[in-house]
Amino acid sequence: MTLISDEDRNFLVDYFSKELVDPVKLVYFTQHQSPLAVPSTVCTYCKETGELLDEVAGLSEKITVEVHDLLKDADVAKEYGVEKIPAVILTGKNRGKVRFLGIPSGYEFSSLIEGIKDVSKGTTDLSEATKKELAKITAETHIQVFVTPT
Amino acid sequence: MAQKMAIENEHIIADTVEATEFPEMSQKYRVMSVPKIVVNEKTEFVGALPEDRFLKEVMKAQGNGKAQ
Repeated sequence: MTLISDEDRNFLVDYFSKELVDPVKLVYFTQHQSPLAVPSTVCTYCKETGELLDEVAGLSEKITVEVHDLLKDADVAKEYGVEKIPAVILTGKNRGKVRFLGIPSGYEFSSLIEGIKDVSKGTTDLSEATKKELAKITAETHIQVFVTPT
Repeated sequence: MAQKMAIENEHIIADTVEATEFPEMSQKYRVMSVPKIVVNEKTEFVGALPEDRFLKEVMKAQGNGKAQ
């Protein structure tokens, strides 16, 4: 069973082939799927998020997924500032950090797709005035956007 | 919006957090409705803002969080 519909897949293959410039790596932090599942330690959406990301990566040669286990790859998790999973970090030509915590489904899926496009290009459609103002920021600025799956 | 800003500026970290999967975070920031945006743990607003107003909130959070 696939998570992305055929209609969406066709659209996205076309979209990515037209829009993507440089490669984008989806750095994905998850947990090792152990046969012993202790309820309090199970990451409910980790498996599905991994499957979703694999499907997205399958839509373009320029998109790859790099999977890490939060505990086993603790040093890498620290490098990316990841403490909670599932976590997806988009890496490419972005200057700052773009991260998704939790499965990027529903409305967030389109945010993920647009994020991949923008990260691939290294530019966004923000106005010149906004970009000029943003350039004044020289201290770490953490913007957290809380959403729910629609 | 936040992610576009992060793409443009190396000092910005944009996190999209699925509230129902992280109840402790949702409680910490008193997330009642979405989207809720929290900047630098001090400036917060609810609802999607147009670009110029979103930017204003982000700039407001630089320094002491008071409006310029």
